[in-house]
Amino acid sequence: MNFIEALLFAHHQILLRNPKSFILGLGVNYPNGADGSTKGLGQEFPDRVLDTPTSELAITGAAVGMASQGLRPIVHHGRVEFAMLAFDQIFTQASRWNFMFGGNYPCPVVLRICIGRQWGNGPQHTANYHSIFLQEPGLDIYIPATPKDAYRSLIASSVSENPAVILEHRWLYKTKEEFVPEKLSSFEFPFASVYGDGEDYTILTYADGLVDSLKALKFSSTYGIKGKVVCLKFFSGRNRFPNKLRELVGSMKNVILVDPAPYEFGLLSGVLTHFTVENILKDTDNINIICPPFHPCPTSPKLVGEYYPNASKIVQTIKSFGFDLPEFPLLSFDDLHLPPEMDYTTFNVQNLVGDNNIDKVKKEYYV
Amino acid sequence: MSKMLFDMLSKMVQIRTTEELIAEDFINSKIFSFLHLSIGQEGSAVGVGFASKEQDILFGNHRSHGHYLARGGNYEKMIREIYGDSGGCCLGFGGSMHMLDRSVGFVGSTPILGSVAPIGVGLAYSQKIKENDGVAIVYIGDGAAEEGAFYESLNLGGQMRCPLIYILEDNRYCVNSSHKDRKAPGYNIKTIIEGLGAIYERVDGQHVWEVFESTSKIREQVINEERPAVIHTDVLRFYGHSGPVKEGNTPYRQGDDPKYREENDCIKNLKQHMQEIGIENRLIEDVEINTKKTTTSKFIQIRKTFEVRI
Repeated sequence: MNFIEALLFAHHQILLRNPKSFILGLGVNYPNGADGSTKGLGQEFPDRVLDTPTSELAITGAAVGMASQGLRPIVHHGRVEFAMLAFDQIFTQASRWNFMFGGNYPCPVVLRICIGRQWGNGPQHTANYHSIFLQEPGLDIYIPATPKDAYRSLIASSVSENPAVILEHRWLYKTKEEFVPEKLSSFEFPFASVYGDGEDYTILTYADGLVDSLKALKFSSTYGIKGKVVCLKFFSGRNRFPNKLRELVGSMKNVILVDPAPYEFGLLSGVLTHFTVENILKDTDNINIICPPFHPCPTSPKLVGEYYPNASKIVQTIKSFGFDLPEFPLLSFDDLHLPPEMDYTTFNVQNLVGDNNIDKVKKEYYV
Repeated sequence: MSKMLFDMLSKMVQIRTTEELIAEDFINSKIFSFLHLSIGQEGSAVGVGFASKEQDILFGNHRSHGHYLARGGNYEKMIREIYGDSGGCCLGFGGSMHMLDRSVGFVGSTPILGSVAPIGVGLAYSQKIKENDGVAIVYIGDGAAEEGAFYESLNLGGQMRCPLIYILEDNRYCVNSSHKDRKAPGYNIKTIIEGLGAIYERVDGQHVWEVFESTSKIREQVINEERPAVIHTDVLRFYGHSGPVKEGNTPYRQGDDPKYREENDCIKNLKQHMQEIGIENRLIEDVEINTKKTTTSKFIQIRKTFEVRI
């Protein structure tokens, strides 16, 4: 199943099982709506899969109103830049609703927001604003990196009582993973997944940083240098730093931060700062950061070049720790500029569930 | 008058020929950028472009190749920008959706729907401060006009007494949704705009000279009455919302098949109009054929000078 198919499957399950669930967004009822992730749903559920005017603020606000009265709307924003027109509703209304009314008044709106890189999308369609969302308490943030994550993020958020933002990297839409879709009662959404178990180095990343990190992991292991990749996937609206993450970070050495967004004041910068201040990160000699330069992504492929982190840069960084790596991965034009079709199925993965996970919720639709 | 009709014809043919060449090239995956083609909608772009005066400034959207060329934007720099070459109008940083030629008053184009509306107020206010009898002309689509910012901007522009003209290009579809799907029953754009104190006029964008006359008239009115205007041009989009594909009988197009579009083509309409006012057909055909030829050879000549894939 690829990323899109996983989203579609989850949407279908939710609509089928919960008559109060809705999807709102531009073109979501098209035959191939929301990049295919709502394909056919408009025909099967015409009253609950709703095309909307180009009015992001109004659509999102309407969903906030619906969610506050017990309905289950999922809003699709095709780019984070479009969702920004609705920031008043996401940040000032949805995230604070339950808090400012004294509790027991949930507003479980779910926002699917596409974010990040995509070929030719240029400066106004590729922003990586993860850190803005992460700074807002009250919002559960899901950053799915694999098809299974994508499936689980929709299922989990659609029964949680918290407002949720799913930051969806369109770059990952073609990635694949074989999995048996679980019922909600049988999983809890992990805050992170650990790929590999080598001790030589640790790559800390999230979202589409995972693909090239795994390529680098595989490449270095062919030379007997074994590390692991820690991919962050979920941030609870109540507590962004679960205790288990503290333990994990405390055990890391030779750390490479692979951030697909600018590092300056960004997601991994926040993680690093937090654990540095808490004195968890002791071995600070070998920490390297790989991230885009501090300017927006241009349009021309020539200018895009190696704007984003890639497997070659990661392997070069591993070498800089003193490991013997005679060569680096060669990257073709397609590697640099076209969405990856990586299959995650074969990677050895361990999922970490945090103590900050989603609330115990009503599960009647899924059990 | 007849010279101007020839010039308009030539400009429309230039825009169409260029975009057709680009579409063909895109299919061979030479272009790593968005592509929103205005083929079929040239009448609106050219009518407005020709009615604008030297001191005016214009701002476009995601579909602005035609707007840019109609205003006299540099041809070579546009082609280079679309292909991501460093000789492009934004040095390759922007791509197809970012047309810019400040030397002719085409002060930019950006694709985020609705966000050009408030920018337009500021552009118009800067024109007012200059006291040069210039206006700001901002192209907005029928989809983008669903954003709240559009209505706020009309009110703000009126309150600030701005010489501002929105060209509301209505190609009937927001991506693949028709007005029926996206608007409330009884939605009346004329009432809304006039209710906000602005001037409203609807014109058939498939007739370029009507767009020209309407824009020229309203341009004067906006300056004299110190209030914004919306010129609502009905246009036909021959291609999909995005990408290089010319559409046939796609299911979402109701009462809008290829035959209908061809019969109402703005270039065909102009040629017919020229004949009706007594211009010899031979001269009309000459201009069309010559423009196609020169545009194609110029395009190929520019295209040869750079590699697209790294």
